[in-house]
Amino acid sequence: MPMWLAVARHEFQGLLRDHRFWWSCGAVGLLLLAATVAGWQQARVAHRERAAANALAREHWVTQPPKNPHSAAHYGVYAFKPQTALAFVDAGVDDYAGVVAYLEAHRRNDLTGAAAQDGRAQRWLPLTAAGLLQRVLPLLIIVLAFDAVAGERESGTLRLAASLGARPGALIAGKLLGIGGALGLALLPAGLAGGALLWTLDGAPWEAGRFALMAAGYTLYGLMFLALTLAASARWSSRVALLSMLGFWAVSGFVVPRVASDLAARWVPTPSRPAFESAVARDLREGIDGHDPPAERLKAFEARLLAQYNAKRLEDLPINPYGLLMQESEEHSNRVYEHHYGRIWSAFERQARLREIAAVASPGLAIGNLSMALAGTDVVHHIAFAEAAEQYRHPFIKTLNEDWAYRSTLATDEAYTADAGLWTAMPPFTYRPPALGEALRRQWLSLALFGVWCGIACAALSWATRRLVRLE
Amino acid sequence: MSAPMLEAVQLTKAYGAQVALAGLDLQVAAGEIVCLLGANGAGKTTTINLFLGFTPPTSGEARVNGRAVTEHPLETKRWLAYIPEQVALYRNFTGVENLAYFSELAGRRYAKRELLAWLSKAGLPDEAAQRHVATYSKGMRQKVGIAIAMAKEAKALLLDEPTSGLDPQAANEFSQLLTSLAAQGVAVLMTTHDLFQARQVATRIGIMRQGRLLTTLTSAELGQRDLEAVYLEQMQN
Repeated sequence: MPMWLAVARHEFQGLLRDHRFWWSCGAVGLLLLAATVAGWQQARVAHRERAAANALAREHWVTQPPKNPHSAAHYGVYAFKPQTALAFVDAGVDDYAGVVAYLEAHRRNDLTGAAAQDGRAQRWLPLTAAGLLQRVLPLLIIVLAFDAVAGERESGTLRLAASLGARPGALIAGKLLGIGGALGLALLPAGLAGGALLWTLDGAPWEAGRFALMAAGYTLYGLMFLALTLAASARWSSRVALLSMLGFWAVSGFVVPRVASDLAARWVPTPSRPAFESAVARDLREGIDGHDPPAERLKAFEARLLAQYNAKRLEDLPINPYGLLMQESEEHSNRVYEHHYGRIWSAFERQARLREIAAVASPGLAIGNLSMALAGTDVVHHIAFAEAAEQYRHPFIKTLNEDWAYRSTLATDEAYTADAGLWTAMPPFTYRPPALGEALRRQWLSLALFGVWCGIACAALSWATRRLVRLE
Repeated sequence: MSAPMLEAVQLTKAYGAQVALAGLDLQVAAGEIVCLLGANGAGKTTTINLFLGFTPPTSGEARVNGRAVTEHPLETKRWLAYIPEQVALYRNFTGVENLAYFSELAGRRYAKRELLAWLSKAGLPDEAAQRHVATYSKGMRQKVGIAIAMAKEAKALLLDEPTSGLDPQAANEFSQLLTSLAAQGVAVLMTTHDLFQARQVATRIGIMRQGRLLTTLTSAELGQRDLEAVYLEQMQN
């Protein structure tokens, strides 16, 4: 048997005989299981409610009584963000940014249905599988491995092993494998149970590729933390190794993400809700940045319309100018919203980029960003859904306005109503989230920094292993 | 005398201005038991550490079977076994499991029956060998250490005050084991404060003070002289 395998087996057996191992792994495993079951339960309810709400909203739409199409546009429809099963492993920004879009005439509404709105979300330590894997798993690893080498040095077993010709590389590799294997074994039931529960989630698209990548990512993240802890243990005394790793865990897991978010918000400010609405209202009133005020624009539009139909008065038109005026107004408001949301999206993306950069000091941020991307709950997916809903709203409202315009005149305006024929002809909202490749491509920086952290862990371990040759 | 299994050539170790070992020249041949005597800080343990490659020499060379330790740290350990003053073992493993593991690190794999035989040879009965080490006395741990060294079938033994704290009977059993190993051609270099044991087992005795080897005496040269008197005389000079 190769020496590293003998060390791994010994380390594995030693951990399995240690009550502390079972207590700590049991606690984390139970937490993971509880988080996954709670997520699954919440997801089941959410999916059921969302499917019911979606069906009900559609039914309300198609069964609404005959009415003016523009009134129907005000009645509006809902678009629901389809969430993957993994969204319940990592809720990402969905908890704060919302998953439901209410689409109506004249207005672009923010997404609603955020967990933060009803107190379901917790900022400090979200009890989701991802939150636990990012923050609690490293703590478990530190507690189990801080004295893996230092403890042996202090007790003298390392000296005895070295005197027998044990190679430092084999000792460290064996410990990495043995501790990693024992941890994997202890946490596997929670992982398998969670995977099985998520697999059975009705209505949630199950993407094996994303799941496999997420599992691989968190496994690598755990191994990276284990490698750093072993490096600290190989280099320093067990006390110093424990304190330094706990410090690193606290700073990289809590301080850096918090500071990164605060700095991102400070360096790339986004307007407050009243300021945003006031700016939108001003541009709707006066045109974007004061150009193209609506009164003049609508006057010009009327003139074009009269010229197009060679008419002198609106009453003489063979169409209903109100419908086209509404559409003209709609297109103006679309441009205004596009302008302002474009700025907001750009700010969100820059803030997200700053948080990605902060992963230089926090491997947890790197895996967190990748995890959200894989779960389809990062800023990129949020913007993609919000934009898809908006792109659905434009033709939806236009169809209704044009029906009003071309199927009535000013004379028949009050009597004109559209009916179920039109309502059912309007296609329901469908959405395809960014493909896996695109989602990862947008997270290239997080991916690169995660790779850098893995490289740092390997280098630290290699450096500490070389130092292990000398025991003085 | 046959070719030395252990050889120190002008071996020196200094920690800054503090010289722990100054130009040690020493050879230990197969079948020899060399005991190094000296007060704490005389350089005995430093000598052992230099042969084990645990610390690099400032100058000079430690050789095992003709190979320089600094140049061949792993290869030279193939011929060595080491028993420290306190044999450190894994407390939640049994004696036999400890022996199995350390033997694997030394590149040897034994069946449980063979492991028990090694432990028995070292003086540890089967019942004790299958108990967790957490329940062991110091003497029992030392016996596991001896079993580890024997199971390695090393050509040279480095012993750093191995009988310190052992009761007289255990120390005596240990001495007999050493003599038997030396008779099989194993070279033994042992540091000790136990003059009685040194007298009992050593084929040669070295007396060290402040990093220097003051004298070496074969058992024949020592003859009927009182070792304690010789030792104190060297310390006072």
